[in-house]
Amino acid sequence: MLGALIAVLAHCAPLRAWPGQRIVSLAPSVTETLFAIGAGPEVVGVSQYCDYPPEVVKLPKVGSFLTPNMEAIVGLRPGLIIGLETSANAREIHALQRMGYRILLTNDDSLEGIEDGIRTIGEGTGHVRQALELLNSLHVRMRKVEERLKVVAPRKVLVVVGHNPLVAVGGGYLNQLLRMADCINIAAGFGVEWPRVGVEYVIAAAPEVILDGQMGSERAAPSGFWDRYPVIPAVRNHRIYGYDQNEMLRPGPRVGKTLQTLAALIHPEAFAATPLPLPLASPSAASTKGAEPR
Amino acid sequence: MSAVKALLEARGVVAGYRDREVLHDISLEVAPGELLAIVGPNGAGKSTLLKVLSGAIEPWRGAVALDGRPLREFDRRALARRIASLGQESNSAFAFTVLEMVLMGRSPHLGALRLEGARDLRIAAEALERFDLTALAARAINEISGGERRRVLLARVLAQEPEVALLDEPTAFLDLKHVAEIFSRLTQLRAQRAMAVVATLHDLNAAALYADRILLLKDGRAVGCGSAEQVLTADNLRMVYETAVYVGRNPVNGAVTVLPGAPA
Amino acid sequence: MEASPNLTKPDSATPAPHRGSVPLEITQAYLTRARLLGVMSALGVVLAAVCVLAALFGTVRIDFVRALRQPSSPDHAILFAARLPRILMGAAVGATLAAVGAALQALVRNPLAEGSTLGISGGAAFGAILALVWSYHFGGGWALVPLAGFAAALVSTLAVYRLGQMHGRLEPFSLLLVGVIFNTFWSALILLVNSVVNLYQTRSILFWLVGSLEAPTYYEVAAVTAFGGGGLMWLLWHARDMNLLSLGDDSARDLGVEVDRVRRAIFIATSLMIGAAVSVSGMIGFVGLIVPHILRLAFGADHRLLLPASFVAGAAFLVAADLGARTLIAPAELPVGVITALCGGPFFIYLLRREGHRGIAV
Repeated sequence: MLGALIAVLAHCAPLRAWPGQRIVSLAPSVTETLFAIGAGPEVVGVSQYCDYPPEVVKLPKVGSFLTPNMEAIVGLRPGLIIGLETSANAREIHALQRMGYRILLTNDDSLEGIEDGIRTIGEGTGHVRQALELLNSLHVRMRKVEERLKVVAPRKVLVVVGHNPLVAVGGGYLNQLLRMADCINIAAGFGVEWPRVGVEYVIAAAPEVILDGQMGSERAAPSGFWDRYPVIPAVRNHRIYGYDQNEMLRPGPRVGKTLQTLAALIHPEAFAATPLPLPLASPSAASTKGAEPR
Repeated sequence: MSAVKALLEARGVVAGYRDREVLHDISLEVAPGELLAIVGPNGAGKSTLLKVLSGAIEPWRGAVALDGRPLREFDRRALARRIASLGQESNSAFAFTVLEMVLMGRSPHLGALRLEGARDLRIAAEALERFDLTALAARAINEISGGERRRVLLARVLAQEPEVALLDEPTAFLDLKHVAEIFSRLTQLRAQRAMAVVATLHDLNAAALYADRILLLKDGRAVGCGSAEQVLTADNLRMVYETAVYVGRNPVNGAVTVLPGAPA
Repeated sequence: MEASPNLTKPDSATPAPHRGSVPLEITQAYLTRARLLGVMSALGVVLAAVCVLAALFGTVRIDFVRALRQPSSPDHAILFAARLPRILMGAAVGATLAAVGAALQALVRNPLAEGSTLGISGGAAFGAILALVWSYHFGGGWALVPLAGFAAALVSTLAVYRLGQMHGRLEPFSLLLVGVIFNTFWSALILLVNSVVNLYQTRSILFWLVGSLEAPTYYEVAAVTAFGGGGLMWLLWHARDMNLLSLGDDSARDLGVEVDRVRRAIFIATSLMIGAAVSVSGMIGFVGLIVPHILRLAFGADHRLLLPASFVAGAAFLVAADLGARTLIAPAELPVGVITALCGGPFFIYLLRREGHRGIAV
């Protein structure tokens, strides 16, 4: 009955076409993309996990991409809802579609998916030019990093989300970034995206660099856990680094920066002499430089 | 001549559960080697009286003494070495063997970490034999019949080597043959060891036949205490059981015999 | 000293017909020192064998010889830094959980009782989580977490014991029902805390709810061994009383048991043991159900054998389960609680049907 009432209200509400439409984002990567392509002012609601760029924390929250809050979404009278293709919210998505809302879904499992997503969002919101510029600057940045890496040899790397338990990056866009950064990801052969690896396996695989998200973004912070296994080359040579999970584990327009961070951590010798400049542009709509924040 | 000193004695016992008084001023005494039967209708307080005598329930007024000392002065294990009880025990949760059950009667005599020794095993085997249970010694307690279980518990009481045995309905679930056997065994024990026995009985005739003295209870009060002839009179029984009874003599053994009287 | 099965006429004064010597099979019908030592030795051998297997196999293959000869090789590190603490932890936790299971079954006179079915593990886990969050923010000694687990386990035990009674008697099925509800309740609280705190202030949700032996420190192994071993000693002191307790409170009292004191001792000892075990390995379930039951079927219900036997057999069981956890989907790992739950679930159903058919004592 409530559904019927909402349906009636939805049809009564004016649905404006772009530009100036009201957009609701159901995922952090979508939110970042929207702001990066200049659609920020049109965003009226975001998921509870969205925290970048900083101004989005003031926007109304409509649940998460796993469990969108139907009433909150409808209450914002959106003209466009953008979410992810994860199967967990299929029912809510279908319900919103039946109510007549315009829905866009993207897939950020892979780099190609992220790029397609940026393009789709650009087309769907009428910011096609900015989207293409964003993609362009992303490609430029990635190519610059790859250039630098031409002189280094591949290194064995392990990237874990944390060590309690040991959950590693085994697939998805992060694995692709690692490959681009000239790394041999020792956790790539498991066939799952986030494998739980055993310590024995890590010792046997002998990675040269370990990135451990549980240690925060302090570079080379000491950790009692890894010190127990000094036979691992990464431990022996003090090449264990923490990283900012919020930044690195987020698919979206910042993957270029992520690639750069990874490359700098893993192959520091390629970046020591002349560090790549980090752009200073803020993610405002008028910028033509692309979305890389600082 | 003076009476033999009482082994177990209750004086002016008033007891009950929570707010309900069940026993109103009961006094009795049991001498070594004596069999005292407690009879009366359901709800008369027979089981409660046994629990007070064993120390399981503290009387509200009055006291119970063993060998002149109040029960509460004994610690529980010391008391268990001298007084054994047979109550309503439900099925064991775990499959102990019959022998293990009987051996448990030896616990009050053994320390915390001592395993049962040769002497304990001998006592238990003897108890099993007395109650015709040797063949069942290795069987699980949950696999035998109700009557056999009852005998196992009796054997356990025996293995405890008490001075006083308090038996609540020892003949329940037992057929005629075993009833006779139980009493004959108890008679032997009373003779050999001067063990005192206090038993609640449903069967007035068995009480009349085997007991030295009978205590007749109604509604928590003693109607009479003495020999069968003294206590099991038609008047007493009619008042206590609220029904007509016939009291006569067993032509074979001369014991007092009680039968339900003709209706109206 | 063993009891001789050949008995002469017990009492010359008895006129009753007597049967001669006691049959040999009686020596199997009760606990002798020989049987105690024999069973414990056999179980000890089994435990040693399982530990050796667990050292030989794991997530990756290692060269055993090289591991022993070259201290700097990765094989050595895998064996001594990764596998050995895990084996020791598995043994300590498994031993503790199995002994606790046997003791709880004696306490509530119910073969289906154990830490996880009565919701006590859940309480211990919740206490441990709160202590972890506390020490993350405010610091605290090494003993804070297992002691918090102990306190919470004790509260949970007392509550389940009280609520599982109807009309003043322990009803077996209502006790289990209350236990299951408690487990759900504690799990919900754990989920709540886990979603509110920073992701790595406490371990992962899967660790707590299912239980795992990943990467223990020797420190933690020592803590569980100390609490587990100490608790076992305390329980052993009351082992004979536990036998009597299973007859019912009244019968136990008549046989000289201070029922309230023994019950209190079991409450405290088991809570201490579970608190320590759960706080370092999460809610590993069913160990305390499977191990004592099988031992009871094989060796009888006497707790003086059952308790120490459960301790040793429980250690072997969990080490074996962890071996499975490390090898089944190698090179990835399963939490060991998954293995025990896969074994335990069907076992519980089987036990329920068997015991329900026989009738559980009240």
